[in-house]
Amino acid sequence: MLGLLYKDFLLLWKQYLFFFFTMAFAMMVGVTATVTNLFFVLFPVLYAAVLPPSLVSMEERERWTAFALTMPPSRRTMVTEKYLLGLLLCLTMGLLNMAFSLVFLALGEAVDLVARLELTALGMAFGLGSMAVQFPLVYWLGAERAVIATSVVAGLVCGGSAIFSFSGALRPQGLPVQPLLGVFLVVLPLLAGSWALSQWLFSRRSL
Amino acid sequence: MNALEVRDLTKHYKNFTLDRLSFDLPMGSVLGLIGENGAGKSTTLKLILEIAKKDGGAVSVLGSKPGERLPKERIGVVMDEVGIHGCLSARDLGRILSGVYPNWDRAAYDAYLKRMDLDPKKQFKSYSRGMKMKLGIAAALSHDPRLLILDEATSGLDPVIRDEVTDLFSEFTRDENRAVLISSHIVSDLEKICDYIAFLHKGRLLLFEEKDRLKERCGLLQCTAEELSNLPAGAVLGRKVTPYGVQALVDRGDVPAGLHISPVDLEQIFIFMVKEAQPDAWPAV
Repeated sequence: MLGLLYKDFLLLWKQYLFFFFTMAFAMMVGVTATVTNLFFVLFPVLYAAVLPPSLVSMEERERWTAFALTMPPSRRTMVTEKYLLGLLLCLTMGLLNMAFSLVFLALGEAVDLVARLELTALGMAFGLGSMAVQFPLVYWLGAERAVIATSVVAGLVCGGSAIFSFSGALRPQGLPVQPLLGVFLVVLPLLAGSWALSQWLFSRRSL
Repeated sequence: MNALEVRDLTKHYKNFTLDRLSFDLPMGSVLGLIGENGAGKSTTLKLILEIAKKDGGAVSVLGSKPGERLPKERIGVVMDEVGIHGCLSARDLGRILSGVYPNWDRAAYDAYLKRMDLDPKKQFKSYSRGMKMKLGIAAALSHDPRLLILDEATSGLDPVIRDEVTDLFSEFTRDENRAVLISSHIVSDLEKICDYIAFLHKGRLLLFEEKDRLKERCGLLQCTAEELSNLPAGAVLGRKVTPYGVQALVDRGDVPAGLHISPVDLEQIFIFMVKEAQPDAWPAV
């Protein structure tokens, strides 16, 4: 498991360096967000959640998946590692989001920390929800056939969040906490179910 | 002890069926799986390694019981296309695999890289096909495997590299507790290193025999059509009409003394079996 996680982080660093710069830019914009650009608060976490399913597709295209199946980790472990990677990326982006907010607060900017925390949590919930839908599609259909389906899901989540944010429906102050908890109560079981489903789908796949 | 036992291995695809394959690979030996493109060699190896799901049959690797987890930490594999990401280097791969294989031997890996003249810092995508294959072999050998499974590992390599690679495989099986299963359509490579030969044709195992015994048993007879027709039934395993008469692959034991039979190599046997064989001469194993 550790070797596979190390490989994925290495690959993200080498292959998706652009991703880290995009994240840093988005966080800096997001932290000084007004009502009209709240999307940048959500974006890093959403994008982080889209990456692991893309990585699974890339592994299959580059025949890493078949190579990995010759190694000791089981198919179950391989799937679990990808979900863990997704959770770690989302969590890291969420924490970085908050760290940026604290830095800007220390620099004297008017940053509402509670509102940022709520928005970050909302972004994580949507990101994890998107991951929960994308992973089973990739493990079921394979890299080639899943590309359209996963792009649609990623587009809906990111695009939907953008429209939602820029329309002004999402406000930095007064985001109700109870609905937010409700979202997590839906997303976390969805993710657990998705994990079990992905394991089952991948255990049946022939490469 | 057998390193590998395959019983009635079956897989159905839309236009292809791997039909109840059975064979054993004894420890300390090399088994060559020979077949034309599309014969089912890669499918067989994928089924053994559980990369593809079988529809029937049983596989036992290094003493594992059917249904048990395969001891993959004791199996080294090189596929026809080494599935390493292009942006990774040999050094990266070593670090990754040290976290994957509990018995990873870093010193052995570094020594293989040096011996094979592979730059550890160079990205995989900038390697030639030969270098990629050599890196795959170095990775497969560096966790002290007991069974090496190689799928077309010598295809597409120049003769010098192929020679180096086949030497490595021969070296590997000097230890009697190791075995190699190698598939290829380059029969000359297999002839050099194999102890056992399995001929696969259209998903069926036509023959499984010790290489030396097979070569002792078979021979090439150049004769006329009339001479051929006088041979006992069962002696002729395959025939080919040439402008100079008839060339026949025969079973030496069934041919009367006095006829000159030339030695035959595996490639000729393979071609006769696939293209010129008598319909009933080689019943599937």
